[in-house]
Order: sequence, then C-alpha cells, then structure tokens
Amino acid sequence: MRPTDSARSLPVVLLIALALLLAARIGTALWEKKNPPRVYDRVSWLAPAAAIDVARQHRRPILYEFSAEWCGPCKILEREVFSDKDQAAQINSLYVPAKVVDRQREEGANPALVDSLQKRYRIDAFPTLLATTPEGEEVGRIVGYTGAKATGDSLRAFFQRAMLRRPGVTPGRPFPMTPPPDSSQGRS
Amino acid sequence: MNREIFLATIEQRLRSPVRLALAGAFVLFAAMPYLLTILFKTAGAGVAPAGHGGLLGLVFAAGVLGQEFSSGAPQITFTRPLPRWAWVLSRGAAVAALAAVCSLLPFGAALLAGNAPGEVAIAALDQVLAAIGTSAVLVGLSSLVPGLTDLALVAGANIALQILGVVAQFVQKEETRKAAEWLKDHLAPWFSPTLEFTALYHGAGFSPHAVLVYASTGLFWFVVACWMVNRKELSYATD
Repeated sequence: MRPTDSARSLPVVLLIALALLLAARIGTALWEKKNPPRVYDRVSWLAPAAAIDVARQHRRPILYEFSAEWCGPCKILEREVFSDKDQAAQINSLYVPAKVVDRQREEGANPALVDSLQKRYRIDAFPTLLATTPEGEEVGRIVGYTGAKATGDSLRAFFQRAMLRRPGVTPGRPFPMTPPPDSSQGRS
Repeated sequence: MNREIFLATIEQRLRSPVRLALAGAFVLFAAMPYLLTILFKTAGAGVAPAGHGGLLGLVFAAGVLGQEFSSGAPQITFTRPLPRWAWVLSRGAAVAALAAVCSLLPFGAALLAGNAPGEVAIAALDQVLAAIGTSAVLVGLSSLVPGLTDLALVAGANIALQILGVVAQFVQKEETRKAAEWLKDHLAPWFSPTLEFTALYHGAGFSPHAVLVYASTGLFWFVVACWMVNRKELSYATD
C-alpha cells in the first residue's frame, strides 16, 4: 500500500479546509469587533423621565425595560422581541416604552432616576419588563426572558389590566423616538 | 463514510438503555410546555427557548470513540483496510444524526400545540445545530481519553467556563474582569458550538463569524479525533 493510501492517512483537503476556516474565523472576529452585526431594535424607547411625562399626558401605560450592558438574556430579549416587527409594533402602540439601563458595574453608580426607579419597583434581576399605569402603579412584570410569544402575551395581559385600573387608558400611535438620553436619565 | 459502521453505531447507541432513558427524559422535558398546552387546551406559550439539542448530543456521543478503544473493538475493525478517518467520520456522523433527529421530536408537539410553522422550524434548526456541534466536540474529546472520560472533560470545561463567568461578573478589578470575560467568550464556543437562527429570524444582523466559529470548531474536533486515532498502535491493524 502506498503511503498516501495508508489507513492512517488524513485527507489533505481536511487540513486545508481547517486552516482556511480558522484563518477566516480570526479574520471575521477582528472585522466584527469593529463592525458588529446589527440588532434592529424596533421599539421606540424613550428616556425614563420623558416616558413618565408622555404617559401622564397621553394616558398610556409605561413599559419599563430594566437591563444592563453585560446582561446576556437582555440581548436575547432585544434580538427576539424588540427587533421583531409585530412585537415591537404592539409595544409601541400599547405602551410608552422606557429603557432603564443599569450602569453600576461600568461606572460604579447609577444616575439618580435609574436608582430611584430600581428601588421603587424593587428590581433585583435583569432583564425585568415592568408595566405600570400612567401614574406609575405596577400592573405586571416579567423577570428574565421567557420566550417571544410568552412575552408578547404577558404584555397584552398587562395592558388589559392597566385598562381595567385606569379606564381612560387606550392604545394609540407610537411616539417618536427621542435622541439617546443623557447620563442623568440612564442610557438607551 | 462507511455505511456499515454508521448503521452499526446507531444500533449500538439505541441498544443502550441508559442513553435511551436520558434522551427520552430530555425530549419529554423539552416537549412538556407544548404537551401541557395540548392537554389542558390552554393558549399556547409560543416556542419556548430550549437547550435539549446539546444535551442529546452529550447523551449519544459520549464515549463514541473512547469506549470503543476501551473495549478493544477497533483492533478487529482495523484488520480490514479501512481508513481510520472514515471510521471516525462514520461513528461521528451516526451519533450526530441520532442526536439531531431526537432533538426534532419536541417540535412535533410544538406544531400540534398550534405554533407558527416558521417559528418552530427555526427553533428546531437551532437545536439540530446544537446537537451536531456538541456531538463533534464529543468525538474530539472522546479520542483523547478512554471510556466515558470525555464527559468528565466536558463537565470540567463547563465548570471552568462558569468560574470565568463568575469572575467576569463579580471581580472588581477591571483588568481581571475583562481578561476573564475575554477568555470565557473565546473558549466557550470550542466546547459548545451553537448557531442561533432564531435571532436571525427575528431580525438580528447576520454574523459570518458565528457561522465560521461553528464550522471551524466542528472540523477542528474531527481533525483532532482523526489525528489521535491515527496515532494509536493496534495489533493486527492494517497500516
């Protein structure tokens, strides 16, 4: 038997393919570090302070998303719910959405409003989706990521609850997204 | 690939009561939300996030090469002029196929529960890829150690990754935290390669890097397995 036909030979094409794949893996890692793949967050998030004002003015419940940059499930929630066209449209029409990002780990402290919202609603895990009446009374919360459909169903149920508690509450057109809030209002 | 070895490996795996019991438990657990929905005729909770694909890969691929060498079977198998890489490929493909098929089962229940076929198909694809990826890792690890010690290696690697995760979350010193995070992010895909099409389906941007990580990890462990098996000296084996 010739050496190339040996039972112990390893097809050269495999080694070449592996070398190419590993090189491409390193190359794309470096490329995506500079150009990360986009996550299309279609929810029109407002800064918390602005959301509170808008909710009172338009009699619309508020949906707070309590999250943090380092939180893995928050990113899944963003990818699978907030980037979904139908889910995002539902959130935008039922609620005034407000993103509350914890910066404790990165900056050592949170902006005052973020701290006060976390304390008021006793937030101890990320992500937490919390629905309130326009006046800030809690009507429901989802702690952790429970799947896209379960999240959508819960958000509809929370809205019904908000309508029962505050009869004036109605869905409406989404609000225009504000520019990214400054540090005094948390990051979105 | 050798068809006989492929089929024999599937038969061997299906004759193990422990593997079947574990696989049944994981499939049942993953199907439970859908079965409850069907049983109690409640509104469906959607396609739940699942992780059974990787677990089924562990169940069927554990010891896929190591147990064979411990039993001495390759001594006889390699008396035939069979390329060793073909033996590794056939056994690896068999366990990966078995894990992939079993990981699809809970999604049958998901369809019966009235979930959208597109969403179910994408979630099923994620689990099939996780099953194949984990099987590839086990094939590689199984060539390094005898018997079922590959499971211990996987467990050890996962514990080490968890420790790195804890360090990355709770250590105050910025450099240590970042180093732990970097190590965890770069080591984890070598032991649990997955590709998430669910995110892509829901609008996330396509990442060529994620595809390359998955493909290169699978091929890497396959090459490791072939290399290790080629190094083994077996009496009566053809060279």
